Amino acid sequence: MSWKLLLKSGFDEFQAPLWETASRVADLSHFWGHMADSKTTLIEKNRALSRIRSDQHLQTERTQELNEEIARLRGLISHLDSLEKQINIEPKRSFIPLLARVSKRTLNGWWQEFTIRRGENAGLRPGLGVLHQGGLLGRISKVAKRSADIELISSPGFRVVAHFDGDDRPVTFQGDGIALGGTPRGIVSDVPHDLIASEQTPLILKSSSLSGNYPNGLKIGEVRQLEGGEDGLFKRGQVLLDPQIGHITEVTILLPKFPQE
Amino acid sequence: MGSQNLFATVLCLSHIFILFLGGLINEACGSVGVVFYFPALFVFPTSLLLDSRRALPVLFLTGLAFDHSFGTAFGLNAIGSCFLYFITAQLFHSGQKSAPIRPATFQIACNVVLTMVWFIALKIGIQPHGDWTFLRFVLDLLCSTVLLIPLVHWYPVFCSCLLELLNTRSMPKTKSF
Repeated sequence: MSWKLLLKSGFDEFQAPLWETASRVADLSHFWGHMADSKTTLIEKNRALSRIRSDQHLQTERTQELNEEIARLRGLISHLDSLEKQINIEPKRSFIPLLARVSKRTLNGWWQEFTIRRGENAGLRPGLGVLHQGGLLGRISKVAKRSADIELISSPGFRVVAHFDGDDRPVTFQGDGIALGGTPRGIVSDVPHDLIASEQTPLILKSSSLSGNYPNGLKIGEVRQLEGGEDGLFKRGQVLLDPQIGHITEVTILLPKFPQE
Repeated sequence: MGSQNLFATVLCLSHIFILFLGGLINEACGSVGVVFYFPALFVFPTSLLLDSRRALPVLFLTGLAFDHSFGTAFGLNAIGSCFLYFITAQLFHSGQKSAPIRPATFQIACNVVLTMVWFIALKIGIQPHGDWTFLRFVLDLLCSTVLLIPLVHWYPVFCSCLLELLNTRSMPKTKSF
């Protein structure tokens, strides 16, 4: 390990507890904030909770139906597995989700990254895919003992294969930073000429299993305009990413089920 | 000698703590598309309160911590701060009765220079994975300069007070008659 990497990891380990403490204090302040909720807020929350409970009741009644559906889907998966074995193709990669809290958000003009409270101890390693509730979030770029850095999809260095919803042809997605006002953006290139996007009918960009680190079909963003590319063969356009990216507090890391693959 | 080393350590920790607070501010501001970039804040108080043997290591370490915290090229602001230290020492410690430039103006000018150096470094491709658009750069620079104006007045005074406090604590107790 070079002296530069050694120094960098030293700073990582030195600063990680400080950021973890700050993040835990923020969590605690949220908790105490809720403890001090007024009667009106509590009534409103209780109302929302009773709605969720009634929905849960309805879902519980459907358990039998859902169990049957699960059994049917499992049967289909095993049938697919046996077919894959018969024709000798590599089975699809499957992942185990791992939740992690965000301890630090570095949203600079030049690149954007998050630091999370899990690291090498939780089995993380560089390159793993990361999701949030709105879809794709980024990938693990650096791992320390108890923390890890995530390169966000808005970061200019983030590049991944993707495809549009309802179209299997691969396109290239690259991050393009955060614009004034906090809108994260990206650029999509190598788009086939027959695809048309407009304000009324935006194209939804989704992840592709060709990238290796993500399952197929996770939302990346929306494309509202496509222009002719420099080569004249393909189009390119701006991708509008989820504006909530800058405020995320919890992320899901995709650990491969079979790391040896 | 021992107390001087203690001063240097405390000053370095104070710089790192300010960096941490800056990081917290940037966490909030970054989500609306503005970043507070302040690498030159630490040069003036360090050069004012420490001798060169201690000031340079403190500035180098603070610069590395800054680079690590902001994701700039590792060592860029460490070397930049040390370089600015020599200019500061020449301008404010050469036995002149009055410096040719006001300290606050000088610190802001240093910050603009370091910010521009990083912008140019990104544009010429020192960091291939990063890009800073011109519009964002101008906006970040303007916001940083505005936020820096009160800070360049406050931070040297804060450091002096901190060292005065330490000085009082480390003084040997004498019997009163």
